[in-house]
Amino acid sequence: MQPVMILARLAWLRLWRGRTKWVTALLAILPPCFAALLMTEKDDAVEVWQITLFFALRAAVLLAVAVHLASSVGDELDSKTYTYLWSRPMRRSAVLLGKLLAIAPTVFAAFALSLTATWLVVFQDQAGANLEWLLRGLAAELAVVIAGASIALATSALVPKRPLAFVLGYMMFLERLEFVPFLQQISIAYHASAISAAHPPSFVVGTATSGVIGILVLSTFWLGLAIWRVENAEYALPDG
Amino acid sequence: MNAPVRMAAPPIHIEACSKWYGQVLGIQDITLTVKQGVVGLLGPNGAGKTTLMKLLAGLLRPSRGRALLFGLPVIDDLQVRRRLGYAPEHEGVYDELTAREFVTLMAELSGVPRARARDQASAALVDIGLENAIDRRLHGFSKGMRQRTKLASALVHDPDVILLDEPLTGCDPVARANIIARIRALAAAGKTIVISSHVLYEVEALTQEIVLVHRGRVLAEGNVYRIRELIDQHPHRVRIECDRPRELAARVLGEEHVVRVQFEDGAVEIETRSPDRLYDAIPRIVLDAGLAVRSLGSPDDNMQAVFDYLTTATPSKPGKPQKGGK
Repeated sequence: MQPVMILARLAWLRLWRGRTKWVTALLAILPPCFAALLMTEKDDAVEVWQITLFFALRAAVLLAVAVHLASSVGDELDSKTYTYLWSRPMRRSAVLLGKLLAIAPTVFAAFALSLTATWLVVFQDQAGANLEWLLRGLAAELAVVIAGASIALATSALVPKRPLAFVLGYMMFLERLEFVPFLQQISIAYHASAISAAHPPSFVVGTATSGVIGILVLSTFWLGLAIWRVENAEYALPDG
Repeated sequence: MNAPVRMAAPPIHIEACSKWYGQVLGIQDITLTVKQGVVGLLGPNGAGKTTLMKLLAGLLRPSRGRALLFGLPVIDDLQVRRRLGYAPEHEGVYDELTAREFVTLMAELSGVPRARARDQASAALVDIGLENAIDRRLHGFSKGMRQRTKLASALVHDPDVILLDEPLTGCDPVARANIIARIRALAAAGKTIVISSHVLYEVEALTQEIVLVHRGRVLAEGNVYRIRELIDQHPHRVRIECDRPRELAARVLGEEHVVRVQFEDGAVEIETRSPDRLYDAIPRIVLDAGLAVRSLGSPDDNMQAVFDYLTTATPSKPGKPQKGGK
């Protein structure tokens, strides 16, 4: 566990001093702005909250996680910095888990602030009476961050070249299976909708419990795949 | 019962090791034992030096054979890697970090307790001459400074086995002298150090023990002077640019070791069986004749030419290493 913590510190330092944090900041600003705009069109606060959360979880949160984690392995390979890490007494997967430990709470915190701001914008003086919407929204956000991070890490391990394109492709096509019966079980967004209860009335979802179980299964599968791949793959290319 | 065996195991042992990258050969059937001291791994670019280093650093799994540190397979045994320090060939580092942060994190990853890691990192960076840049971001570091930072990261946890892949590349003379002095001190302290290079004189400055690698095989190993003798058994070319090349050629032809002379544009290329005697003779001839020499060099002073000599010398035994002797 100790190498994971050390690598989490490394990932955190790089995040803090790097540029990608601004992508998260920019994406986190979108939900309250989007909600404020919707408020000018619609009178029903609950409907505005549901629409905003529906898109925030599918687009902004997933994208933020992907931007930070999809190139976890590719970055190390491109800059060859993996040579410093994997020649040390540590499991290779510690690199992935360290990044997960640094990035996931950061993205969650950024969007927790964002969703809280959105909730305040939407419900205004009725916010206290609608606290459950916020709590379920935050729970769904946490689920999306964890499952999205697992998928991004698996992609980084499986497809180190152009992983972001693959993750975006996944988000645009496979995630849309949320609308297809049975196949919807492999969609993060489908389970997030069940947890948040923020979805169009015509969209049939499971219970919050089934949503949590679904997210746990998906996260375990993808994270397990990421760990298996990075422990067993040989990424090095022929050189001198 | 295993403990005494492991205690007696050599620091580095490579056993019938081969590595392929798909259809591409990295190294083939290399067996090598390295004991305490400095060993130079010499070979032209693409010879397989870095592959060999990566196998020893646990970054690659051998396609066949074993790479052992202290009798333990480095690819599978995480704990033995605490005794390993590896400075790779490339310049890549975490640009967002300062030198101290980078070396501290590497120390911690190698098992140094957090309370001591920062102090050890500072000491390692000062030792290698980076005291003035210790808290600067790596982003702004020159190639030579990056080399020294990598070296500090390889040494910070006081490893017993140190693998340095082309450690002098890109260094200015001061940095080079600093690194050479540090490596000599480590060797004197009983460490096992493997240095790869494609420049013979770099390795000669550090050790007399060399291993010649060519096309993925060990071509020869042993004392550098014996290797030099092997090389010197074959005609060696020296190219001299001067104002009167024909006069120089006429005088040089009087030397019995000179095999052939050939004129080029404003220069003469001399082929000799005894480079040392030719290098002794040239200053005398130049002074006697009052020649103005613009340049003097050997087209053979590169590793490819050395390996061309050696591969020509052992055509019937490809891959069979010549023992250089001690």
